[in-house]
Amino acid sequence: MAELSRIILIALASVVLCAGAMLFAVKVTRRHIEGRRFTRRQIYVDLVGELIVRGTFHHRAFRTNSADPLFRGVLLEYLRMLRGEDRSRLMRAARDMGMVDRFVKELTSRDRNLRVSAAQALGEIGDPTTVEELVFALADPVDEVGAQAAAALARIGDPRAVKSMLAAMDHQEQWNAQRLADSLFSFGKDAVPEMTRYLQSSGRYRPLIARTLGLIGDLRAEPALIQALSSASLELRLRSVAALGRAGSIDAVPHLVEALDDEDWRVRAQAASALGRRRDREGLPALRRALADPSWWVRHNSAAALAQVAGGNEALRRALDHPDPYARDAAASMLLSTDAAIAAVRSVGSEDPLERAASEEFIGALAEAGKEEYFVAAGLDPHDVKSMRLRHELKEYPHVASDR
Amino acid sequence: MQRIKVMVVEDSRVASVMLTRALEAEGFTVVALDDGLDAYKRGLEGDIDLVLLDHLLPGMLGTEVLHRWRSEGITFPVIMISNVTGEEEVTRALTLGARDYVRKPFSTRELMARVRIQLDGVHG
Repeated sequence: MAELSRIILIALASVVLCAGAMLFAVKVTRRHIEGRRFTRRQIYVDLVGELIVRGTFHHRAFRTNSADPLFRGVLLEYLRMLRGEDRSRLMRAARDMGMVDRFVKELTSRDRNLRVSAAQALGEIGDPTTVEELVFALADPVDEVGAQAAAALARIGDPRAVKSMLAAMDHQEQWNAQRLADSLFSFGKDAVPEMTRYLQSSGRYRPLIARTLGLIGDLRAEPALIQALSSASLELRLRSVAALGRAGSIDAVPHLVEALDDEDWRVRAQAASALGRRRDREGLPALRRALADPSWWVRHNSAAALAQVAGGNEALRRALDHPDPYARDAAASMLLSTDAAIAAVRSVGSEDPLERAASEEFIGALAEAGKEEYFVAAGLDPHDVKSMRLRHELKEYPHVASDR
Repeated sequence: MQRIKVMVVEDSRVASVMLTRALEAEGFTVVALDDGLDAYKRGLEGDIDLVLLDHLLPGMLGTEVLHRWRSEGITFPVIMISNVTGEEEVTRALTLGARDYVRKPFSTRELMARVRIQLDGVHG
């Protein structure tokens, strides 16, 4: 029995020792391989750096190693790091050694990872001769390949790719379509004519394109964006209003004013903000009316917009006497966030009776609109504030009496 | 005549090699380091004429290295090289005493011209 136990123990110890030795061997081998990889990479980094500075890429090592993924990785790193003449020379060298052809071929590989990295690499290299292949890759069944191809096309910047990118967009899911739209933004004004045509089509992602057009900010898109304001699609109206607020001309203002009457509060709120951004006085009466909108957001955005437009502060002051309590509240809240409220507090003690009366009238109006606490917190005597409020309520200030 | 000594502080091996080769081709002696703290200590030795300094470094951030040098009265010209290109970072580096700020990707020709301008200010 004891003999059997001894044999079992020895067998177990042998197994443990063998396993340990194997693990050790694997570890040593892996470290050796990694070490060699590291050394090889360092050699490539030194070699490519040397050749860039010397400006000679007809080195034998370039051709010999061009198939090595490690070498290609190093070359792409240099391309990312450099610009100007160095980059152009390196790009030409990459093309001469057949790297571009290799990546183009890999774009149609059965290995999806290889297709993704090939599209990425072609983007880094930015060779205009690869546009056609990249356009083809937009329709790749793997989303990531299409997105990388779009980014590559954006980097190359050939506007002929825009139409294909828009067509490919319609077959993508929302998040990937967003990435394509980001790539289209990189084309800038060159992409505007084609994107404008898309906006007038029945394309699935017209709201995304309206947004992108607003970000690019080219007036050639304005008529299409104005037209989109009457679309049945809420999202398209919303994005178009925002785009016109960001990049529209004076011609857009009447249309934004019309959008303040949109059936959906989100469009109305966006239109109010857009009019604030346009800073056009033409929008003042409509914004003042919108202070009484049923939606809190529309009232808030309209008050904020009035504060941005020249003459808007006066409109906000007049809105303190608005018959609608919501409009009064929106105007009062906005006025409290401007310098006017602080200035009024300072002027209460003014020796100029006219200035003093004007500030008291202003504070009285804001107190009547429910903002009494603000002035007490700002250091005014609560009884004085109450008195100003009462005088305003009783229309004892000359301004109030004549205005009403 | 003693050659001008430029310190390159850059943790990206590719950028470091590129800068070193370009500077050596211009006839400078190059000291290449990849750690902020090591660079700070090396800068105190007093034999460096100009520094090309990355911002995001292990050990110590580039701007921190610069701040410490200036606090110690070290005045050699420093050109920051970074892919951190926000207005705030650039302004901070220049306020701390960087003579120039070069954004990545960079052009070696342009960078060498900037190095020459700074060295002309010191040695010219």
